[in-house]
Amino acid sequence: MATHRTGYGPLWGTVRIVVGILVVVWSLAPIYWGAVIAFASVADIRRSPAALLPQSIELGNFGRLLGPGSATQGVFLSALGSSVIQALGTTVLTLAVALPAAYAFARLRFAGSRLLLTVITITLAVPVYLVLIPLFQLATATGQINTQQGVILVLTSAALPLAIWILRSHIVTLPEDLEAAARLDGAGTFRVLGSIIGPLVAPGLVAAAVVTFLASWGAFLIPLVYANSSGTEPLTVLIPTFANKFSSDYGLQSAAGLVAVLPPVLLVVLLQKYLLSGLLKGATK
Amino acid sequence: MRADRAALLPAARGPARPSPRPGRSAARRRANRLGLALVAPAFAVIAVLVLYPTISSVVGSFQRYELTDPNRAFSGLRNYTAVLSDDTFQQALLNTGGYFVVITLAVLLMGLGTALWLQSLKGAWRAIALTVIVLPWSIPGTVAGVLWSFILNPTGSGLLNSVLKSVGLIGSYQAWLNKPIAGIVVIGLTVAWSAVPLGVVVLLAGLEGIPREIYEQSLVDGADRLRQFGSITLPLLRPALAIVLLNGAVLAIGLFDQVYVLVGLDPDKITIAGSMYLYAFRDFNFGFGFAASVVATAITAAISLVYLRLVYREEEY
Amino acid sequence: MALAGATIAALTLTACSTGGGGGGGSATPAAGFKPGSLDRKYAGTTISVMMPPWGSFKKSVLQQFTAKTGIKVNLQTLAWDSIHDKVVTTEASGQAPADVVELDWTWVSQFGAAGWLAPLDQYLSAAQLKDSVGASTFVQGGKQIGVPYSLDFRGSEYDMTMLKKAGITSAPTTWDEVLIAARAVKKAGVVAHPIGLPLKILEGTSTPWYALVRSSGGQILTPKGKPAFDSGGLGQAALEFIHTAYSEGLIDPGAIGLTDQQVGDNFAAGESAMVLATGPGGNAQFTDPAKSKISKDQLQFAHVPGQKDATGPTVSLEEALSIPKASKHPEAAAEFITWWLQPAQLITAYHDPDMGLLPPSSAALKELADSGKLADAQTIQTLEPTIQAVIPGGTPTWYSKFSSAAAATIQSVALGHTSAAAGIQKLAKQTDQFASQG
Repeated sequence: MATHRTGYGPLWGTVRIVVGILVVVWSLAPIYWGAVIAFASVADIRRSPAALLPQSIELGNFGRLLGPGSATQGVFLSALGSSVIQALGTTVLTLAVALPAAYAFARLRFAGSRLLLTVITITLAVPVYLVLIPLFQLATATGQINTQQGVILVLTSAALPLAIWILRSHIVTLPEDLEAAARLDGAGTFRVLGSIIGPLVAPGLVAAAVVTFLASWGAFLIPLVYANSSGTEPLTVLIPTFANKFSSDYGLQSAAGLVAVLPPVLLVVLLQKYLLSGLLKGATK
Repeated sequence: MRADRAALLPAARGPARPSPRPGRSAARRRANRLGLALVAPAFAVIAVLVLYPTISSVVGSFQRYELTDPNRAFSGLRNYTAVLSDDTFQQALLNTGGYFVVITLAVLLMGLGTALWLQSLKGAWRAIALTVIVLPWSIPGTVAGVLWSFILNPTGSGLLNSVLKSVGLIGSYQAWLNKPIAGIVVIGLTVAWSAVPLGVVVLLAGLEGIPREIYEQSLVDGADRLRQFGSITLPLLRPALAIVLLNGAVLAIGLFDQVYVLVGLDPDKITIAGSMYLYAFRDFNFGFGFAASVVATAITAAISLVYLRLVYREEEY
Repeated sequence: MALAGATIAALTLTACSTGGGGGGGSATPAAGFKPGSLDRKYAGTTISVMMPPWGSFKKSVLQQFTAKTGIKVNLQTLAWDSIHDKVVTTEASGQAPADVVELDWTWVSQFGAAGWLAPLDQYLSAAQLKDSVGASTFVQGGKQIGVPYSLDFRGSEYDMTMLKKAGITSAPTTWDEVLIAARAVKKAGVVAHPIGLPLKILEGTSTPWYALVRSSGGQILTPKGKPAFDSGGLGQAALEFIHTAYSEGLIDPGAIGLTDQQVGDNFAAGESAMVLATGPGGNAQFTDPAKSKISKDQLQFAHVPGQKDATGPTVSLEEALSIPKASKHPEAAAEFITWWLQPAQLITAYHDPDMGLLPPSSAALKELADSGKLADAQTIQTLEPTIQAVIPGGTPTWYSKFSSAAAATIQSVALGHTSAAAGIQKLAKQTDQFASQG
């Protein structure tokens, strides 16, 4: 026990357990319930009152979603593909554009650097809906609407400021001596970026990549407007459209939802350390 | 190559160290060129895909302009007066205020509670708990909306209705999302589900950043745990709390995904972003959409400035 | 980065021109196409079809079409709201959302004025259009841009078991009779809130009011889009009727948060004795014992009550099939529509519990009725000739704004926040404003 905790009363142990249970239930209940519905039979989805524990575990909903000959197989697989293309494309493009900029802002003092950094920072606060219609006009005028590259560009513009911030914050903390040594050995800027800064800033790159990937994987309003055709819509746009005659089709929504949360959940579980540092850098700097 | 180095080193060290006089202006020029070259792609993306559309929105908000009619004409403040006097937009402003209150309160209280709890955990336990807590943040907003719609189902097959009725808290099944005020609270809480994790992370970092010695000194001075919390923890956590508040405001004002999935563009629950979408893509009135988005952004900017001032005023401790 | 740079250059260059307007596809069928034909000329083509769940045939049924024509159908079923979103964003860029697309009656003017939909006059035969009940709702600028696949008119449903318990033996035909019956049912303690009427600020709240006004012989909007609900005092009287019912507790106080669907659910669950404007008849939700507590033979479907009698027009909220101008396979799409409009398919759509669509065709209705398979046949056949569009002459482009303003007025008057007279006055003023803003 750390010293500063000596002030706690005897109740603390109980409180700690109760809070722990509440935190876990609150965080996991929607995911748990989504999984219960995804694996439930049609009758059990409609069961009233609902039973807390799964009453049936079957793959019927997944069969309806993507089984051979299912009505939604085509659109679902296409949306899954679009989600992957858009999220990965955005991540790669964002990092490729953000890293040199972040390096310049962290290490170089050049005319207008402060102004440019300020402008880019301010765009962090520009809400998507402010640019939605003009970008829609641009995209329709240039034939970029309902194309993967079009939506990737828009997603990149949304993700870029945060990625630059995260990377810059990492680069600032790196010791300059290594770079200086490399330069004395005659290395140029791009070699410095590639061989010295690159590896050192890897945790920052991972953090920026994870944050960008999650943001673009989860984006909704942007693809709703720029990628809403059957060939380009991602999972986030497709899933809410699953419906039956009187209401949403819970079976399809939950089954597709589980597939859609798998990549982000795996990223969080596997790369939590980087994600947290990325979040902190993004939120506090 | 060598010139690069000469240009970079002084710059990297900052202005405190004067650069060697000979070739100074040439070196500076090269540094300028290199810096601008590195920043250019990023700035081009921002300029074309953020700055230009922003200006275009502001200009468009003074024009009569529709999705189906490419002819735009100056219309003065007409879009603004129409939007500001529109019931839907007024309701959207009101709702957004409601979402903001619910989301920030929930994120502050739950975030602080969870962060304090996390601080009491050590090692692997803390890592596991953090993973569990951060999970909701990673889930796409629309999927989160869909997951919550299962729980809030107005019939008995909704988890919430079923649980509350079985313990006797409600007499009949409730259509939570249809209620005007309770609906805002419930939707706000589902948004908080996704937003609390970031709050926890920021607040935990804030808590960890408070020097132990301060607590130890106050114990010596005879303060109890509660007094410590009021006199040390909260004041020193202020920057982190302000960030959480700011984030809540930005979130509420940009809110769209979850509300759209849970209740569509229902005017009782609609957000500012929703009203903008409604004007532009349901009513085809781009001019109204522009005016709505500019008004909303102005409000966001004002709130952000107030918060930023609060944060920076209190930054040193 | 190269990609970004190139696109940015392209974007900047063309930034001044805008999208919108009609697409690039042809508005007329290819030479040699015979309107209303169903043959194998387009075998091997695949068409995409975008419909809401109730407009989606089972795969096995679609395979019959493929067997007949050789045209493959790629059906995408999605929530109704999402269809509007998809149509708008794809059409605005000159693309076709699908080859056959759902067209709701409320979208007609928007999509029609934008020039997104192909005139069907050349794709369908005159006989087909003549047989179609309610096709006039989908005429925009003199062109037939959609053809109904569902006859969704409004009538009232009464649970006669409940009414009889209170001594009422026949279904009410006027608003006063509705109030008398509801008071009796409430007084007899049969149910607490006998009248099912949604009052949430949504389209589903506006339509019952339209039905009440139209059923009394009134109009909602003139063909020119001017307010008509304020002439003759009918709009106001209908609001007063709703206010009276609400203030006396004859309508559930919670109705201000209920959608039309939920009001229907409550009626099926035995929580109210009547639904004022629902439809069409033969609603499986009310007749299926698994979903409904109402005894089937005591369920009575009738003309929406009017102010003085129930003889006025019956409003129909129809949904249609349309072909985007930008479609690459309009002829194959037309064959699909022709196939759908055949009595056999319309009757399949009526019997499929997931569709349950009343055929918008006099021929198919007659065939159903003659075979004794049409629930509420008598009422439906009586009401069919009285069916009219909600707004004759077409819905204005600003209809959705009008609809929410009307729903807000109805709720506000029901709650007593506004008087019916003031509500009508404000709505008339708002209507003129919408019309002037375009």
